[in-house]
Amino acid sequence: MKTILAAIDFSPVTKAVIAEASALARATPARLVLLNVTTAKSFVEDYAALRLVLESAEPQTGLPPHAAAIHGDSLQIVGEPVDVILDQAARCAADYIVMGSHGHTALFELLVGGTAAGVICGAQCPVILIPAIGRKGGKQQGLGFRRKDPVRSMERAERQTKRRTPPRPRRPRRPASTA
Amino acid sequence: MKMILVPLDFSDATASVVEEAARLAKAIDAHVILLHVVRLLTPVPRYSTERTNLAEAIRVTEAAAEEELERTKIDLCTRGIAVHTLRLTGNAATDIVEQAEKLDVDYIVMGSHGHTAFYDLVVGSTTSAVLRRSRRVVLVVPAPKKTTKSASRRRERGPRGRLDPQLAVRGKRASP
Repeated sequence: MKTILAAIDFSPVTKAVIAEASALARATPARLVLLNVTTAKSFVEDYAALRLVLESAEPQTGLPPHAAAIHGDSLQIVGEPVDVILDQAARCAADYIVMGSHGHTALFELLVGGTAAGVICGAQCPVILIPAIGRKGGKQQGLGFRRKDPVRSMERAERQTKRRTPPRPRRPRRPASTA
Repeated sequence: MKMILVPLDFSDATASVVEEAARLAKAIDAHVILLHVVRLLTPVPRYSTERTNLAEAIRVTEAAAEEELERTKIDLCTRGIAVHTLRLTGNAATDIVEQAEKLDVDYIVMGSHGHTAFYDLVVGSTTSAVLRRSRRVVLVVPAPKKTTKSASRRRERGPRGRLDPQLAVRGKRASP
């Protein structure tokens, strides 16, 4: 029996994390351990929320509990998120850690959530990262414009130098949808 | 049918990444798409002959990469997994994110290091860029454990054991 550790923080990603973790737990099949690391301050509210998530985890799979057959456990621990997640993963011999890639106190971390980055660094097992939903992809997605074949464009540049004609100046790109 | 995109760089981490992808593909009954992105060299354009050689060098690398992909594909096919291969040339992170969207994959399986981890010693630069940009679920496979000596040697050298000129220079100087 494998074990999947899902680290949740009740941010908007949490629902997707639980859906992914329970889908994987059903497919593998594996035991699902829900872990919430909290600070002492928000302990009480988070505990109530953890109970709620646990109760709703089974119906979310869309199958009756016996068919879904997810065996689970839930933990709530006060401490430093990265340390606790890694410690618990080692303790329950997790085969996968599932967590959100952002949203874990990622207000200041522009790259990857600090927790996710720390867990990736220290983890002994694969880490499954669920992207935050509703994030503005915008320009970063890199779609919608045609990309050139780099080798071909290199050859074209070669030909141009042989012809010794300066390349035509490019039209300045218009800013996308100013309206 | 679910799909798993597996970007490979044929470094030390590749074997464990392929292994993990195979395990996941078996568990969720998914197709595996092996992707290798040949990195473009950035030449200083001075002589046209240099350019010709570069284009030739890239073509040779592409052929070698395709061979390597085919070998990995056969290895996975014998274990009963449906595999497709894809070889591109360009920027690894951009191409991985783009292909993940285009192919509508369910998972991206990558190594935590090894993807040209020159500067980002914490998380490989390609992996962190993909995590930042992609909206797909990413499975990060931990790097195989190394002794500290070879790990520090790897830090100095590139993924294929080549000495990275920039880092070598940086290492020699006492202070920048």
